[in-house]
Amino acid sequence: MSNPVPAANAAATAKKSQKHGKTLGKRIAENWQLYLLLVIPVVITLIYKYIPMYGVQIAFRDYKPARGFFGSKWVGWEWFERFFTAPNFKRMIVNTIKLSVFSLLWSFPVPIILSLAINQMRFKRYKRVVQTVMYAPHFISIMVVCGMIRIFLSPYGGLINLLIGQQIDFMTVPEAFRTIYIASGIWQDAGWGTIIYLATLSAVDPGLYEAAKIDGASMFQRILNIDVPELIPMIILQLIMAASGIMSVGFEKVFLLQTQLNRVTSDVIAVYVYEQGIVDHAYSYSTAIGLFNTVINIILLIVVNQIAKKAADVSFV
Amino acid sequence: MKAKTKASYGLSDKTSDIILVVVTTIIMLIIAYPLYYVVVASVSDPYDVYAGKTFLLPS
Repeated sequence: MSNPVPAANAAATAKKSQKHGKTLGKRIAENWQLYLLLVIPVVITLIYKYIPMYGVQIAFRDYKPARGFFGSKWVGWEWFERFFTAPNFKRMIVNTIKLSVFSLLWSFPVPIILSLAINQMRFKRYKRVVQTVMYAPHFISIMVVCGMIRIFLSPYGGLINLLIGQQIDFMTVPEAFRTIYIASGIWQDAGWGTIIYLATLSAVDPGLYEAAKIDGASMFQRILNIDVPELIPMIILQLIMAASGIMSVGFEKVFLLQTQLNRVTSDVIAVYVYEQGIVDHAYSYSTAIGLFNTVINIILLIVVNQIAKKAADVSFV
Repeated sequence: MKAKTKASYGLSDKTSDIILVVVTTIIMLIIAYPLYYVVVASVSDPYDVYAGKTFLLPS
């Protein structure tokens, strides 16, 4: 009489070994060239990504450069407590989440719609022109884009003010900050975002379109019944990637668009880390904030991936 | 009969093609104009730019 659990385990092992046939050592010996190639990325990842992580311990220490990482005093959760009780803690968290969630909601569907439209375009030459123009803003540095935004929104001769016939200094209006940030983000990266969707759409079997055409489906129906289902796995993948970054709003753009007067809505964690860590030299404190941010991002990544797995049977992590 | 059903379901291919071209042209102009404006503004007289007189051609 055998215990059912070990029996099941043994069966599973048997199945596994049957599937692979050989042990890991044997497989390495057989395909050593492939594993040799694999060594390069593994070593690079270890050296540049994992080994530097020992520095994260200064989030729990009172780091003094003269004493080094291991010699500084251990203070445990002190920096985290200080962050959670900081006067503008709530404001920063709310601003960070609002900025990235709204940004995601507004800018996520745009590349999908654009790529569906471009994909249906039958005039190949014109299609290429449209694509090239749409990619162009992506190659402008964020610094220049922010300069352009300031020129366009300037109260003296700025284009937007001329159009609405007023003289509002938008950069000093807290309510306008998120709109400026999100709208310029869409302008800059919506075209670039279409690349991945267009690549997916180019893999669609042309026979499907022909069959739909013969059945009398209009262009809109073809998009809805052929293109959209084809895109869904890619949309979910992109959503997982975007959701994992919800707590990490890009630092540069917020910093460059920030003025003393719109800080009510533009104060985000990334800028606070910069101010504490680089400007004020509070290394341990800013490391603690960064670590807190990263942990939340990882949790979000796992949660969204689980939801996607359950909802659509697609998972990438 | 078939043509009738097709027409009643949606726009014809020609119409949707025209709509598509018009919409993408508008989107393209919205994307391209700021870039063009920066080029024009950078070679124009700064006083004209500040007065809001520069739109399409350098001055």
